[in-house]
Amino acid sequence: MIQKKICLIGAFAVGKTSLVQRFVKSMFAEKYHTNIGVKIDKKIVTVGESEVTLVLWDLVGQDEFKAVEIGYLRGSAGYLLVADGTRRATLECAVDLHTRAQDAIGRVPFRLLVNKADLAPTWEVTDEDLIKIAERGWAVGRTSAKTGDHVESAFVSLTQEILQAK
Amino acid sequence: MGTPPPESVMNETGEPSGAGEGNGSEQPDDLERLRRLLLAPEQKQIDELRMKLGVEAQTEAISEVLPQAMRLSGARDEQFSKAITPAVESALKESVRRDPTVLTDAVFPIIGPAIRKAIAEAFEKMMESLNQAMEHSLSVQGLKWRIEAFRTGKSFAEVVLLRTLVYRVEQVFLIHKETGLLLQHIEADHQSVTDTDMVSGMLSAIRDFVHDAFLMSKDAVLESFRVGDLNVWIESGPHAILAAVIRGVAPQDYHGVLQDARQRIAVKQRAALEAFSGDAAAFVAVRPILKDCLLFQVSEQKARRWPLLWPIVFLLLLLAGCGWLGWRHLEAKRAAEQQRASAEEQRARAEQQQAAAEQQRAADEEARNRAEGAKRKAEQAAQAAEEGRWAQCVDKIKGQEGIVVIEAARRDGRMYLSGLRDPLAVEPRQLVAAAGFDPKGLVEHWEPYYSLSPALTLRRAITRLQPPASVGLRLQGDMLIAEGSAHASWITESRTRAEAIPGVAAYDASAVLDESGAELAAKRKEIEETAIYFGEGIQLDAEQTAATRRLARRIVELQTAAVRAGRHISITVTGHTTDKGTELYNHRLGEERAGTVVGILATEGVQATLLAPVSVGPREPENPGATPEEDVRNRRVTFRVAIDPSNRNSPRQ
Repeated sequence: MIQKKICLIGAFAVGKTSLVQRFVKSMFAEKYHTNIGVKIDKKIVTVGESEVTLVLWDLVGQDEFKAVEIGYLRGSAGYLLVADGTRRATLECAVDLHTRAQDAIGRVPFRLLVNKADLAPTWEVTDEDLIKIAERGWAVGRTSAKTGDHVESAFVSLTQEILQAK
Repeated sequence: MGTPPPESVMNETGEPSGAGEGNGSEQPDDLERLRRLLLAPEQKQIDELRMKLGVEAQTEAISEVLPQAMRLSGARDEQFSKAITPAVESALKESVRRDPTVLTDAVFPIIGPAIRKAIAEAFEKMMESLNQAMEHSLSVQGLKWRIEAFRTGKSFAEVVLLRTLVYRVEQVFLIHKETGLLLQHIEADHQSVTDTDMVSGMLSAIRDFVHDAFLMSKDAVLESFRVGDLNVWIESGPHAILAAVIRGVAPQDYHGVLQDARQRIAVKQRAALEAFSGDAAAFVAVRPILKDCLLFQVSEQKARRWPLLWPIVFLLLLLAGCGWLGWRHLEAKRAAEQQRASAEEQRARAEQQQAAAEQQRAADEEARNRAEGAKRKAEQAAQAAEEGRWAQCVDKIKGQEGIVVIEAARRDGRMYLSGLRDPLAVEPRQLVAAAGFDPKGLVEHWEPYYSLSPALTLRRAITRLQPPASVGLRLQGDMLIAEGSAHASWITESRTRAEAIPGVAAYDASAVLDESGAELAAKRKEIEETAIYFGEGIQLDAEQTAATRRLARRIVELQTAAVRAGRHISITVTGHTTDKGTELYNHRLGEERAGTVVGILATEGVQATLLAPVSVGPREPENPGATPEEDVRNRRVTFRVAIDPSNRNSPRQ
C-alpha cells in the first residue's frame, strides 16, 4: 500500500482538528499538540482501485506567541491549509504559511479549506476574497466541521494530485 | 639418490663395444648384432633390475617428501583433508573390526573427562530449571505472578519471562527518515501492537521535536529515550531510521547489533531507499534482518536447595543411568573410530594417486554444494517474501473493526489465527484468501464478542431493528437516532428492542413520522364517504349489492392496516329512511336496512363484531329540505368508523 505524509496547517483555533476528526483514525490525544506541537493521525483514501494511507501531521495552529514548526513539514507530499471564514486574519495567515511552506519543501500539491461554513452570515471573509485566492490557481473549499462538507473530497482530490505529480 | 645412474650401467656394459668401435669403425652393424646375440639375456635382466630399482627409488623419495607435502597441502586449503577422509574412515572401520581395544585405549584419556563434564552440566541446568519451575509454581512470588497472569490475561509462562527478563526487544521499526513513513515493522511473539503507521510518524515527530526544541547541532540526533522500563533506541542512517522498542535494559553492544542491521539494510536496499515515494513493498525483504534484532535475555536465577530432594534424586539416578549408557556407547564408538584412523593412515600414504582422483570428485561436489547454496538462498528469499505477505495480511485483519487478534502464526505451512470477533465483523478467512493464501490451511478460533465501535454498533442496530427503507438510523455518541417515517408498530417495537442492543445507551425515535395514522385516516374517509342506497323496501338492487361488496373489501383492508398499526376499529352501520310513515315503522325499517348491509358485509369476510347496526329513521336526512324527488336518496345506509387510538387490548397479528 502506498503511504504519503500530509500536513495540516493553519492559524490558531481555525478548527483544523475538529474538521478532520470525523474522517481520520486517531490514537494520540489532543495534548500532544501542546506538548510537542504536532499530532499524528491516519487516513485511508481510495483512489481508483488503490488504497493510499495518508499519515496526517496535524501541526499546532500559529498564533501571536507560537509559530508553526516548519521543520515538521519536511518530507510532506502535500498539505491542507485551513482558515476560519469568520476571521479574515486567518486567511492572511494561511497565505503566509503557504509561502513559508513552499520555501521549506518546494511546490507540492495543497488545498485551502475555509472553515465554519455553518456560520456563513457572520463571515468576515467575502466571496471576493475567495475569488481572488482562486485566481491564483488555488483549490479552495468551504467546509464546516459540523457538516463535514468537502473534507472527504479534499482528501481524495489532494491524494489524486499527489499521485499524478509523481 | 643412492643408486648409480642407469647411464653408467650402460657404459660399463657397452665398454667392449666402445673398444670394438675403435678397432673397426667400418663395421659397427656387425658388432652390434654380435653384442645382442651374446648379451641378450643379461640385457633383459639389467632392464628388469633397473625397473625394480626405479620403483624402490621413487617410493623412498616420496616417503621423504610426503610428510612435508601433507603439511603444505593442509595449510593451503581443505582439499587434502577431504581427499584423505574416505581413506581414514575405512582405515578406522578396519581397525575396529580387527580389534576395538586399540582405539578405545587410545581415545579414553580424552573422551572420558569430556563426557563427565557434559553430564555434569546437563544435571546442573536441569536442577536449575526444576528449582525454578517449582519455586515459580509454589512460592509466594509464583502465586503473585499467577495472579498477575490472571489479571492481565497473559500466560503464566509469559509473566515469568517478563519478570525474570533482563531485556527483550519487543518491536523494531524501520522508518523512512525524511517522511517519517513506516517502511517495515516487526514485533516479538505475543506483542500487541497499536497502529504502527501512526507510531512511526510520532517517533519521527518526537525526534524532530527534540532536535529543534533544544537547538541541537545538525549531527546531534536523539539516540534513545526511556519511559518506565521501556527504552526506545534509535539508530539513524542517511535515509532510514531503525528504532528498537526494548523492555528492560539492553547491553551496550546491542547498539552494534542495530548499527550492523541498519548498514546491512542500507547496502541491500540502497536503491529502494533513495527512490522511496510511499510504496514500502520492497522492504519486506529486510524482515529477516529486523528479525535478527529481536533479541532478549533472561536473568539467571540462582538455584536454591529444594527440600523435596527425593523425586529429584530419583530423576537424577534415572538420568545418570541413561547418561552412563550413552557414554558407554559413545566411548565404544569413538574408540573404534580412532582405531580405524591409525590403520587408514598407513594405507593413505600408499594411495596418494587415488587421492588425486578423489580431489577432483571433491571439487565437483563443492561446485554442486555451491549450486545448492544458491538454490537455498532463493528459497529463503521466497520464504521471506511470503512471510511479509502474511504479516501484511495479519495487519489488515488487525485493522478490521470488530476483530481483536490475540495470536497469529504460521507454522509448517498452516496458518493459525485466534482472538475475539464480533459476529458482524468481516470474515478473516476472506482476507486470508484475498492475500493469496489458501484458506484451507487456516486454523482459526474466534471467541464471539460485541465490539462497541460505532460502525459495528450501527450494523448491529440495523440487523436487530430491521428498519423499513423509509427509516434511516445513525449513531450520535452512544445514542441511536432513527429518522424518516414508519408504521406505529415498528416504532413501538423498535423502542423495546433498541435499548437492548450492546453499544446503544439511548434511543431516540421522536423524529420518525407515524405513517399508520395517515393511512388509516385515508381509508376511514373512503368508507365514511360511501352510502348504500335502497328502494322503498329493504332489498338492494344488483348495483348497490356490488357497491356493498366493494365496501366490504375496503373495511377488510382498514382492519388489516389497523391491526398492523396496533389499533382497534369499530364501525357504526346506520340505517336511514324518508319521513313518510310512523316513527316506529321508520325506525324498524332503518334497522332492517342496516341489518341487510351488515349481512352482506359479513358474508364478504368482515368480522361481524366490528359492525354495530343502528337506525336513526328519518332524523338524519342526506339533504335536509329536499324535494320529494330527492327524498328517495334518504333511503340509505351510512357508515362511521371509530379508530381506537390506544392500542391496549387490541388484537395483534
